[in-house]
This record gives sequence, structure tokens and C-alpha cells, in this order.
Amino acid sequence: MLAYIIRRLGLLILTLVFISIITFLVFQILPGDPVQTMLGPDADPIRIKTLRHQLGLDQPLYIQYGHLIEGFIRGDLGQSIRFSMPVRDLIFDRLPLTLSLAFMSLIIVIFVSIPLGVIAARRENSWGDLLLSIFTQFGMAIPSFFMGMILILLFGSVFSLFSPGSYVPWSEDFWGALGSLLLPALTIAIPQIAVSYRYVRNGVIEQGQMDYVRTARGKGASEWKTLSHHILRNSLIPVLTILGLILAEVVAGTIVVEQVFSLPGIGQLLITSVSYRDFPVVQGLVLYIAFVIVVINFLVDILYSVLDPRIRLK
Amino acid sequence: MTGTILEVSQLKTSFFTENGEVPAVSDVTFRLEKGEILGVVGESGCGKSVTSLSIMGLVEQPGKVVGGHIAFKGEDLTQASAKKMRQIRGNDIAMIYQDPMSALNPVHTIGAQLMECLGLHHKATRKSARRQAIECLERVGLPQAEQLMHYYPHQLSGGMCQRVMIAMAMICEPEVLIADEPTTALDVTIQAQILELMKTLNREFNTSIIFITHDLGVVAEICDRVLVMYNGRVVEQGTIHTLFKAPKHPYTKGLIQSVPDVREKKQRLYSIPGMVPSPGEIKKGCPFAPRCERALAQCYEIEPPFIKYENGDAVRCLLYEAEKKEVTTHGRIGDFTRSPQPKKVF
Amino acid sequence: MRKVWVMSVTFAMLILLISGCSSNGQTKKQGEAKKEITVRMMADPDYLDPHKATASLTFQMLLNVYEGLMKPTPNGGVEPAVAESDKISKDGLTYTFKLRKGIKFHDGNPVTVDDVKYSFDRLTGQSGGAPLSDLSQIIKSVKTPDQETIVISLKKAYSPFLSQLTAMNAAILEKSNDSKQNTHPIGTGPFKFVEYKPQNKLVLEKFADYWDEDLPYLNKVTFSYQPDDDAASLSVKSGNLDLSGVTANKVDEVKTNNNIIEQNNNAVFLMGFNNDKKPFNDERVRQAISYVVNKDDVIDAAFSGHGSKLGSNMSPAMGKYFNKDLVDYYQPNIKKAKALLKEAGYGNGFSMTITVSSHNKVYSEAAQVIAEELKEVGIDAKINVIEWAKWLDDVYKKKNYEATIIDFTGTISPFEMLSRYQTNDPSNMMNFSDSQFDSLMKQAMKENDDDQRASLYKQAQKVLTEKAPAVFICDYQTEWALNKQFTGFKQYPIYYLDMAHIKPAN
Repeated sequence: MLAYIIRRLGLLILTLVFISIITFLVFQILPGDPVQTMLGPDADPIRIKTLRHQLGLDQPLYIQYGHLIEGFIRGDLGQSIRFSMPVRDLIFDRLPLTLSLAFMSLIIVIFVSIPLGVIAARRENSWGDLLLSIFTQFGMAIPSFFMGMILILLFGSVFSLFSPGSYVPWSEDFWGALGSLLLPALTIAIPQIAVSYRYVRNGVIEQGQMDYVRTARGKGASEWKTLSHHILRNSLIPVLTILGLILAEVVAGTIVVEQVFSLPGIGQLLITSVSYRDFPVVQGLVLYIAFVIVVINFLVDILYSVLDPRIRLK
Repeated sequence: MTGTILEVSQLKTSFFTENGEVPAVSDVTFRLEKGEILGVVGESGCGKSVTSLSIMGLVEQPGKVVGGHIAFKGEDLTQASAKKMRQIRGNDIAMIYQDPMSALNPVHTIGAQLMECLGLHHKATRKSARRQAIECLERVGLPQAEQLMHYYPHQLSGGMCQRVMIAMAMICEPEVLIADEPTTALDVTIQAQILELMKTLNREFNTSIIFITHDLGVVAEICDRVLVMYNGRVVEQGTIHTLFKAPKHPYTKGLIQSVPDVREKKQRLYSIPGMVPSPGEIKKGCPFAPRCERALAQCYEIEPPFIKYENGDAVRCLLYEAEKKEVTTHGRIGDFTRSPQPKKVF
Repeated sequence: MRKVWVMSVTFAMLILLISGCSSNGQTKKQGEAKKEITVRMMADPDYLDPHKATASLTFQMLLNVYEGLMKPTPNGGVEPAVAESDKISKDGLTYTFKLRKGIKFHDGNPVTVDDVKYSFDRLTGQSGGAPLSDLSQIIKSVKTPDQETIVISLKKAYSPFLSQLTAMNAAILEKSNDSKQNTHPIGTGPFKFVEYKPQNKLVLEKFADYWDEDLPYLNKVTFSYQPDDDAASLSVKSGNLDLSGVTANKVDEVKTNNNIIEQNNNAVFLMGFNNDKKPFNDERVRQAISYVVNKDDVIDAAFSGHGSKLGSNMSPAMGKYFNKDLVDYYQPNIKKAKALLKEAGYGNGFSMTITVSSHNKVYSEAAQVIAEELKEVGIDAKINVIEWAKWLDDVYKKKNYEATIIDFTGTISPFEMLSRYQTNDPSNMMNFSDSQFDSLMKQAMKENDDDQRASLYKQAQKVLTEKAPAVFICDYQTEWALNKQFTGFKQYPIYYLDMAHIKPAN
């Protein structure tokens, strides 16, 4: 286990270094100047020159990069150019929103796709099963930004149940926060539900034909007990791999959906920072996202070994 | 050995497919006495497993028991409620399966799977269930039972798994144990140990066992009586002695003949000509007729009757209809004193 | 299975915990008369430090926090703010200001002449740092002969100087707050800064010691981040936003609970040419295109008809400086356009590229209309939509383009509005050069008489119209939706949402 963790950590550091260099290289070739972009065409040229100098932007990018990396090693993520704030504060300020959005999406995916998958599997080839297959096919095909717009239109304009951009933090108003995050979370979740649902359904059908299921019935276990205790647990093993991928998708999905729903989260920060050429923030965010993805994989591996005793972490 | 514990009469189980109803088992009739080991033999696809699953009430869609009765201690299981069946399964009638590795749930510990049985049928405390489970594991000859409780199936060998399966089947001390080819997936030395174990359990707990196999050698070793099945029907039944010494049905004869004898250097092993017909393929006459060396013209036309003899033996063959009396006498003469050694007989 | 649920629940709790820690709770109070207002913030401020900030959207909010010696008036002029009065010497080189009595910063400290001097030194780079403003090229010295007088001497006469002294160009800041101007803004305006969360909100609250005792009426102003127009109009409709610009097509939807106020932006929306590049170095080609473009069509397509046509680089919002005779100088006239092109040697047309930024869809919408119209004279215009940052780099800075569509936001200084067309101006992105125009601007800079100046600016505008460095299209209007619970909206010719005069409607 220890060796496993060390190996994972090594992999994490390697990934981060690699991604950081890629980001740096991309910025190297990306046209545009952060101060000019921020101040626009009406800006006083003297002001732009002074600010560029103050921010160290008149130095070559590799020196800026060097300073940034030096900061990282000290645990300092640097200063945002666009927002004149520490990158760390910017990220931590948005973390609760994005994490809760991602987590809510995941919860929705789990709580919708597993029961749906089980029901469909138990009624294999029935009308309901067929209908669900068609729906999920649709769910997977619709891009999330479009889905988001449809939901905003439907719930915001038609039913007036929801007002975009009225995000309140959990601490201020729990139900308000839940309300403002529900639609975005749903938007992220819908295509993922479709993916997960298929794995659950196929898993339950496949596992339902296994010998140990007959054994369980032979012991006198009820259908429910057989399903919940035996079939489901085995069916969830492949689903877990998919959930790991889905979680990565969800993290990526927050980027688009925060934009569509005007939520002040990590994703919106990333898009703004890229368009304003805010190198320190982008670098910090990209590393953060890579970090999250690696940690998710790590958690999936651990969960894997919890669910499936045949897999032991080496 | 007192009284009948299970009586199956005219059992018919069919599968409903796109091509209509396909009977997998039709007109199966037999009795299981208390404390006896009843062998059921036949080639694959002859309906052995479907018969046992029908008794357990575990025939899965699209299969269904469509006729006949299964009387367990006087109660007709074909009419029993789902709840009643759950109470009987595992508790009164338990089953051991062919491939022990896949019949155990890979994600639960041996202990959990053993105790599940007790949890379902006896409201035992966790502690006492644990104790019983360990005892049970020891009883089937598994060493270090206590540690074994925490093991997962993939950590055990096939033989150990089968012992666990047997322990699991025996843990609620059922009156009937159905063993569906319990030794097929195991190698020969382990096979012998498992058979020995089953004999011991049979003796100690007076458990009736239905032992399903395609291996006549195994039957000869542990069974009291034998049922020979072909194409979903019982074609012959008799005690081990009569059956091996004087098989009646041409199919039984063929089966016995095709057992290899290590002491005789035969050039070629005998095999019954032709292929096993798939269920429902033969609609008219005796299903064995196309492969039968002694088939008469009317065998293709008339469904042969099930001829029962006074001693409990029975055969389903036209050949014996006329000489019923003679054969009955012959059967009675059958030597009970000689130990059955089928390989010597033939 | 159990373990999975335990893990999930723990994770959920953890998240709630994290989010609970992150922000200090503030619950909305539902008062009798609404004394708190929520206003849409379209984009984040560039800097909270007014000396560093440039974006008009920043000052739209921060002009409520900061004041200069002067402050803007709704009619485009300036009036004293931190200064109580001003006096200009005859030669236009010396400006003398009296400090307003009793004026205080938001932290309660009185404003001193030292603070004023500090502010100008900071802007002009006198206090060590590099200059932050081109005021450094105008101001010679700032002197404080006594505790209530400030004397500013100029290097040369510069008539628009007073209009450069609002908080937009020269906010008065507190010296002791020097290192924190950007994080803890302190000014003298009617509202004081409370907090700013990027891409979320900027909160201001009433400054009780404001020098104008009648103002402000409201207790709290929250600028709430909402970059998306459609989402903004939904929020306006639902009452989550009390004041917001809405797109023209949404006006009817929000009318029930909002008053609609139409405002000219004093902006100039135009298609600029690279006057150095062939064939746009030939004024006949530029004029020909000016005859082709139908401004009404562009206004309809990009602004749903809400815009006033322009003839030069000046909006009617500039009042007396605006030359109204130029608006219809180029009536759509294909014949004339073709003749001009033929004369210039492009009788068979040519192909060109209009490079526009993607950050606002109005640019590409306008480009499509124009490209379609140019086909009539055989000009094949391709549209190249690029990212804003790339636009600023390629088009604005490197001037590597043929034609582009952009808008210049207005200032209250007519000089500043026209200055970018001077030959050597650093923001002359169109590479325009005309000696007549340059000399008119030089004269205007020296002229002290306002009416004389106005006439010079009008002449300069005419030169621009005739030489057509760009097709001047329109000043677009903003449709402001203000919740009917409020009143007192004041319009300025600059981006300034004057919250001090907004009050609850009874």
C-alpha cells in the first residue's frame, strides 16, 4: 500500500510538471498581452507600459515562468494579473461552488442512473427499457451547453422558477444555493446519467446470469436481497471505472456549465483567465484540475479495491 | 431409512421460446427416500439439472414448471407460494452446484456467505452464526476455519470452494441435498475426497441426497439407487445392483458400455451412435429410437410406456412390455450380496 | 456497499464544511422602502485603483467611490468636487484650486492638500514610480502654497485640462493608503467600498460623511456580476437585478416591473480602415465604401435599431461640440461609389478582410451586413472573427489588418475623442495622417475660449468625414431597465451609473 501511494505521488508530480510545461508552451505561442487585453483600446499607452513593467510582464516569458515555478515550490501560486489578487485566494474562493456543483452532479448521476439501470435490467426488452434506451441516447447526444440553454429557457423564461446568475453561497442560504445549483448540476449530469445508466443496466443483466446469483436464490434469499446484496455489488465494479471517468467529465463539464449559468466558479475563472492571458491563474488552475483528476483516479482505485476484493493495490 | 421425503410425479418443465413451447423435462416421476442417495445420470441436456432446479423452484424465465407435482413431506412445491419456497430453499432443500468457483459470490467473504444462510432462515445472533459457520467449515474438513471466514473465494482452490459450497448447503441441516455434478470441475483426487465427504454427511445427518452426474463410476461409488434420464424423461430406474448388473434400457446399456475399463485393453472405447437430440426435436415415438440398436418399427411411432416393477425398478421401453413378468422375476433374482463393481461386470 | 455510502456522506459533509468556512454570512433584509439596490456588473473592473484602471465599465461603478478635483455633470461638463472652486490664468498655464472645506475620506480622515499633491505625483511618476498617465506630459508641477490651495502649472496650454481632472483621469487618493489602493479602495465619493469578489459582486455602502449632505439616498449598492445579456434580462424580470442594461428585444419582457430609460452612450461605433494599406491608402476607396454602407441597416442588425447615425467621430451626446451637419454626408449611393472606385483604379472591385473581435457579437453582426452590401460594388469582403486578446495584439497594437469594426467609448473631453486621429498619437490605430486635422487639433488645444474650441472641433470632425479614415456608423443606445421601486436615474455622456441620486420611489 505504501509503495502504491509513493508510486501514485510520483506520478502526480510528473503529471503536474508535464502539464505546467505544456501550459507554458501554449502561452508562449498565444498572441495577446494581458494588460492590453484588460485595459482595452481606450487605454493610456503610458499606463499600459508602467503596469506591464510593474507586473514584470516586460520580461521574457521563460523568466516569468521561472518566477512562477519558484513560487510554486515555496507553495505560492503567484498573483493574478487580471484581478490583482493572489491566485490562491481566487481559486479557494471558487472552490466551494465548483466542488459542490461537481459533487451534486455526481450524486444526481449515481442516484438516477443506478435505479434506472436496475429497473431497466429487470425489465429487459420491455417497453420501458426501450424508451429509456432512446432517452439516454438523446441525453448523450445533446451537448451540455445546449442542454443548459434549454433548461434556462424552460425553467427561467417559461416557468420562471429559476433565475440564472443569482448564485448564493451555501453559508448564506442553503436552499437558495441548492436551487441555484440544481439546474447546472442537472445539465452536467444528464449526459453522464445516460453513460452510467448503460453500464449499470448491462452490468445487472450480465451479473444476473451468474452462478452465484442462483446460489443466493438457492439459499432462500429474496429477489430484493439477491439484487441488492449480490448482483448490484458486482455490477457496480465496472460502473465504478466509468464513474471515475464521469467525475473527470463532470469536472470538465463545470467549466462549460458555469459559463452558461454565469456561476462564479473555477470554470468561469479559467475561461476568463485564458481570454485575458492571465498566465499565473491559468497555470494555477490547470495544475489544480490535473491534481483533482489524479486524486479522483486515486480514489477510484481505492474504492475499486473496497468493492472488489480480487483487486489489491500493489 | 424411513419413508419417502420427496416424491416427484409426472413433472413437466418447459421453456417458452420464439419457436413455441420446448419441453426440457416431461413426465419425470421418482421418489426419494429418507437418508438415501439417489443418483441421476444422463448425458448433458437430458434434463438432470432442470429437474433439480424445478424441485428448488429456481427454473428461470423463460422456463416454467407446467405440469406434475413435487411433494416434499406431503406438500406440493409446485403450488407453494414464493415466500414458502424461500423458506424451504436453503433450509429444507439445499443445493450444491457444478462449478464452485463461479457459484460463490466473488465480492463477499466466505464467512459472510455462510452466515447469510443462517441469517435468512434462523434468527441467529451474529456471534452464534459465526460459531456455527466455523463449525460447519470444520465439519467439511477445511483447516483453519477461523481464518477462512475472512477469505474471499478467489483465494481458495477449487476443492476448497466445493467444500465451502457443501458447508453452505449443510449449514441449515437440510433434509434434502441436491448435488448437481459437484465433482465435475475438480481433479480426480479431490473428487474422491468430496465424494467421501458427502457419504459421511449422508451417514451422520441422515440427509437424503440427489446426486446428479454423468459419471457412472461416481454413481456406483456412492448411490443407493439410480435414475437414468434421456431427453427429459426417466428411461430407467433401479437400485445400483440391478442397474449395473442387468441394465434393461438400451440406453443404459450403452452408457455402461461406454465407461472405460482400465484393465481391458480395448482398441476403441464404445460410444452410443448418433447425437443427443435437442429438447423438443423428436415429436413422435421413443426419443432414443434413432440411436437405438434394437429399435423396432413401432418404436418410431408409439411413445413407450413407463413400466414399473414391483421392486420399485422401472423402465421406459417397448421391448419390455411383453416380457414384463419375466424381467421382473429376473430383477428379483438380482444379487444383493455382491458388491456392485460395474467395471468388472462389463 | 455500506463503505461507499459512508464515504459519500463524509465527502458531502466535508464540502458543506468547506463552503461554510469560505464566506461570511450576509442575509438579505427585506426593508419597507427599498434602500438597497442591485445593479448589473457586465464585466469585472480592471483595477480598483483608479489610477491604474482604464475600463469604462470600472468607472461606471467606481465613480461612485472616487472623486477628482472635478466631477462630471450630466450635460458633459465638469463641476467642482474635491476642489471647491477653480481659477485659470489668462495664458492657460496655471490652474488654482481651493480645497473643499471639511471634506473627508471614507476612513474618516480629512482630505489635505498633501493628499492631492500625492495623487498627482503618483499619476505623473513624480513620487519615484513610473508615470501612470499621460498627464505627465502636460503637468509641469503641482504646488501647495497653503493648507487649502493647490496650484497646477502646465507645460503648455491645454484647454481640455479641467475635464481631465475627474476621477476617471485623476482621482484624489489618500496618501496613507498608498500600498492598498487596489485592495482597499478609499475615496471621497458618496459611497464607500465594502467588498469585491471577482466574477461575483462588488458591494458599496453609504458614506455618511459625504460632503454633499443630501446625498446619497441609498444605503447599499451591490454590483452583481452578470456577463450574459439573456441571463441578465431574466434576472431583471424576476427582480434579482434592479438596474441593468437590457438588449432591445427584451424590453417588452421586463417592462411590467421596470421603467425603461434610453441612453446615448457617447460611443462611436465604426468600421476603421488601415489607412496605410493598399487600397485603403486612397481616400477615394474609403469614400466609396462610405457611400456603400447603409448605416440604418447596420444599426438594425447590430442594435435592433437603437442607435443614432454618426457622420464623424463624435456623438450627439457631446452637445455643442457635435457637428450635426455631417450625419448624412454619405447617403447610400452605389453609382457614386462605383465612379469613385473606377477613378481610383478599382473599377472591378477587390477583395478585403474585415477583422473583428469575438467578445461582442455586434461586431460580427455589423460586419455581415457591410460585407453583403460591399458585394454590390464588386468588393469581396471576408470576415475574420478573432479573440479579443488577439484583436488587441494584431489589430490594435501591431496594426496588422485591412479593416475592422470597433467602438470607442466616450469621454467628456471632445479633444480626447478626436485625439487618436492625430498623426503621431500612440493610439492612432488607423494610421490616419492629415496635416489639416493635426493643425486644427493643435489650435484647439491652445484655445481658451470654449465656443472657439467648439468650432475648431467641428471643423476637425468635418475633415474626418471627408477623408473618411473610417466609416462612422453610430452611437448605440443602452436600454436601462430600472426597477419601478427606484427613481432618480441620471444620464451622463460617459459610462457613469450615478447611484448617489437614485432614491426609492414612494
